[in-house]
Amino acid sequence: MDTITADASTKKYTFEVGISQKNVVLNDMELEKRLERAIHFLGVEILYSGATVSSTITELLNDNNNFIPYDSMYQDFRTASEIASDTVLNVDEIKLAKQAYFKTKIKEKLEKNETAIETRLYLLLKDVL
Amino acid sequence: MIRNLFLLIFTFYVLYGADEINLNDFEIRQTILQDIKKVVQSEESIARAYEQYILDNYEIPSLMTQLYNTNYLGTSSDFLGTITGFSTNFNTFVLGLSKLSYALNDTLKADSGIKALYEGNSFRKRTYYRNSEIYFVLEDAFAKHLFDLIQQKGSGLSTCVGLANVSCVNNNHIYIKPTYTSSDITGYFMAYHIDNFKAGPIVITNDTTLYSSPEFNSIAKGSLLIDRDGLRYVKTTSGIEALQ
Repeated sequence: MDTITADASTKKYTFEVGISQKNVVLNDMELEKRLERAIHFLGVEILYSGATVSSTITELLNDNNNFIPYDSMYQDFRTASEIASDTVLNVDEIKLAKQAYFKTKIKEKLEKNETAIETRLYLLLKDVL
Repeated sequence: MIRNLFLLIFTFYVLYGADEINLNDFEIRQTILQDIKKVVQSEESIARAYEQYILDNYEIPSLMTQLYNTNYLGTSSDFLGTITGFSTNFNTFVLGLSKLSYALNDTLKADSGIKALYEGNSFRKRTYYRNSEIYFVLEDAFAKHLFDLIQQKGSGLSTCVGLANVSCVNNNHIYIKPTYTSSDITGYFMAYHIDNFKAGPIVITNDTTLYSSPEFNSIAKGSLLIDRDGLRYVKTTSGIEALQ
């Protein structure tokens, strides 16, 4: 039970679930829309069309498919040490950071397990997102 | 000879040139741009109808004719009638699995501005363009659930009629891989009321060897499961855990 604690004496069970907090993605409508779209794409390709996980992730990141809303991500993507040293990221580094952020958000959403598609996708993608 | 040449050029113009739309004409371009918006809105309507059809019929529509009726889009002539040049400038909608065919004809597709407007997200909420097709995003959680069940089964969920191991619906309950005795359901992988699809309670088989079957992967983490002997379980990321 890697994510669960169980106390038989108190009958208390604890396991991780995803929650929606006030300050997160749901308030960013464009990012939320793109996440829904990306998860739909992953489901259709991997679960129903037999595409491999790696080729589908490559397609997810492909600029032609326009899944990632780069222009809607305006955060400072530098690490704490990069901020401390006043490092300036180049365009490619920022793009990679945005891709990583988007994949993290997909994983968070899949982890909530709100639908069967998300539940099944999470099992397949948890180690690659 | 010259007269014949003129005749040939005139005939060619009448046959081909007259139908070629002049996208540099301001008024024609304005009309086309308005039509593009209407076509995208129509695609959004088809996406909504597609989802509603799944919820109503527990099956996935495969033809536009299934949506061209009073329950969904109305007749095709009514639905497409508001787009002034649909038959001339756009391709007929063809339904696929959670997607539609590309609507712009070759002339419109060759205009980069028009192509960008059609393929872009300006008027799109639950559809998106990819690889020369328009994809739908389902919004309703139960529609997504049904879509997954239907895809796993390979066909729509019909009323339970005694076919062993064929997932079905009976009295607002979904049965996954039921078995029968004298046409009564006497066994199943799992069964649940349609209102409880998200978090349970879900009644599951008491054969614990089946808990690693792929069907159980669709159950959301945290769902309450009760086997046919009354023992309680919870679905976790690592599988199905018995509650003490």
